[in-house]
Amino acid sequence: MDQLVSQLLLGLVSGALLVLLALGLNLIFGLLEFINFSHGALYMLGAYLTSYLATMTGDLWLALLVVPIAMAVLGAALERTIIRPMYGRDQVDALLLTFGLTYILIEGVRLVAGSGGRRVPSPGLLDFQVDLGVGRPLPAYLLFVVLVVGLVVAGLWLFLQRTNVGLIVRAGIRDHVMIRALGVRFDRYRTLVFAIGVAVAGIAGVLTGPITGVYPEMGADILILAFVVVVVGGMGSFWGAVVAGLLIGVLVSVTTLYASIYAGIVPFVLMILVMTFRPRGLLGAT
Amino acid sequence: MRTRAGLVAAVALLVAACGGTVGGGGGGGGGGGGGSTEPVRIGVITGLTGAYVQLGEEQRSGAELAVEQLGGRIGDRPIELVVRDDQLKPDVALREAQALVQEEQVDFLTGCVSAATTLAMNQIATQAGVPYLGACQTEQLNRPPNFDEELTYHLAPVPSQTTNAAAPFICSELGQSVFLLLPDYAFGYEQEAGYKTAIPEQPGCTVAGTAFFPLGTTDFNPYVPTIEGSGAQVLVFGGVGRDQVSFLRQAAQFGLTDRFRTFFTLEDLSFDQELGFDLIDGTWAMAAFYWNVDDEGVQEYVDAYRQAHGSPPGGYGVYTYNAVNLIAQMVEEGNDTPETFREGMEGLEVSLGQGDMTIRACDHQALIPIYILEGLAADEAESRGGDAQFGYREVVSTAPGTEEFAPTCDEVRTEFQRAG
Repeated sequence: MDQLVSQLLLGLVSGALLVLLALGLNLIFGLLEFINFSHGALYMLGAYLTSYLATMTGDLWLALLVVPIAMAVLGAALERTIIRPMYGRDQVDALLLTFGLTYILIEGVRLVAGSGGRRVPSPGLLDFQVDLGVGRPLPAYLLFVVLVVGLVVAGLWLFLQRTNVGLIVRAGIRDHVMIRALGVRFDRYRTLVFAIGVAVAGIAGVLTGPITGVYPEMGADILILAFVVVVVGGMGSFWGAVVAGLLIGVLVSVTTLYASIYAGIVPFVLMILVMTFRPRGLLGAT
Repeated sequence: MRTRAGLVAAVALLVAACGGTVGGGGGGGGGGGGGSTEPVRIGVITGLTGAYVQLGEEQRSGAELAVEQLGGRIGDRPIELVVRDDQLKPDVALREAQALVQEEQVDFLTGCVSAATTLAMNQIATQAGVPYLGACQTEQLNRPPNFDEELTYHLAPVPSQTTNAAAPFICSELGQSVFLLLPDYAFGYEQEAGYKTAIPEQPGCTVAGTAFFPLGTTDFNPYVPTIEGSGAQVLVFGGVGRDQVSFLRQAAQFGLTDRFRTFFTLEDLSFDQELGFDLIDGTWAMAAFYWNVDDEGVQEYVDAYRQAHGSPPGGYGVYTYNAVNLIAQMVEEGNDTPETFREGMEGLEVSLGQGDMTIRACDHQALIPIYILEGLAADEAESRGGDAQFGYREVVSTAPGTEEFAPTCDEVRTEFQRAG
């Protein structure tokens, strides 16, 4: 029983990072109707920035502050230059564009940093285990990751639901012609949403570095699961991404306990089931 | 909504089908210029993208270094090296091998960092009548139905050779109850078979449990309770490349490496560099090549590699380095057709980048020593590892390259007879 509880807890921890990545993807898709295939590469870029900053400073904290801002600026620049012309066009165009961007980013990183991986130092402050009273003790850093993910989720939700900017963004998604007619320069809000989505990918990159290290293809590896989370949770559904990310984390974790060789296919089985019986996703709009 | 979901799902599956790698094809190689004599074309196919990229890069560097040392020529014949990326996928390896034998018309093929891709290359090579020198650990390459006695050679150890070498050390020095965490593909299953045969042969030693993880796993958290629940004293990790780096980082965060004696089936300097002394200290590993082994052939290769790249070589470049050198020796001696190449290779005793090596006649398997390595702390590196910067490990035990550890020729012949 204790082992199962540990497995559930670890599943939630694993799911938390998936949530973060899927949320950024879903934010851009849900609000801009833009499939950002380069999301994984941007996450990788955030992780590399973290690696360099953390190596310079010897710790993660500055990176946690600087990288999301740097990634937001990059996201805004990308949106205003190459993403904006894609709005209203066939989504295949967006896919091709961001697929190309992915190649450029990965090859660019290879050119600068080499094909091998880089180290990211773990925050020394969090180098201990925490006994939660149930299951096995968990590394403090993983609990810190869950905390940051929780704060980002809450912050994004409050931003979208409780601020005027969030209100305009949500209204613009429903009818951007009307919003423009009211004198709102909606393009700026699109830029903001894209920048936030990329910043969230950057935060995921910062948090992942001390767990796995960083390497050029790391975004491609996890992007698959992030897309699966988005589909399972429901396209554009904020809470869908959260629920699906945690659910997939837990399912993979529990499957690992009983039949490790099948753990890798669990997310895809779930995606097929959802697409067959509930195509709008677990929490997607009708 | 259905269409949008379908589109995104299609993207997810497309990426999944790509195996999570987006890297492109490999580059071309060096070699000599066009002279009046016929060039010797050597094709190298290896994983230049994907989870084992470090090993693939090493194989490219190893082959290029050998060509450079040979002055780009074998006698009067220029060497043309063509390097391709198999992305760790058998279908890509198959396609690239076809391109190399049909379009580039290579005379020899070598390379591989995955058991899955080596069989694809061997298949094409044997169909085309081109000798293939396998360069990754697998039990299947020179066994039926894959082994072609005219064309197939295996320069890396077979996994049972390494597990036979590791088991006595693990059981006598580390602990008698062993948990196996292995990659979920051919190499992992070959290790499972090897360890589950070799470990119970050691007095009092048992396998307490086994779990498999998919190639390219980044999240090892879910495996922690299973490992802890096994009650084992020793944790054997059979993954390579990124998998090894991710695993050891997470194992340390969970304190697993403090509670379990941790042993890695395959060490490589590139992984060590990525992990650093802090994580490696207090772990053990196995390798068929280690850069500070006291051997003239090894040190000649290491010196040349360090001069070219600034750091010592990892363990996988030596296979393609040896392959090119073996090809050069055979061609130099006039053994440049598959028939004469075989005659020259069978029973060959030679000293190359791994020191003394024998290519035994019965299955064209290279017999080479296997080293057990202890991970060191940074302050031990210079005195025990031989180098303050790269001395991550010290050789603590050596299993000689003899049939004592590899399957014997009698066993191999029995297997061939059984397969008809």
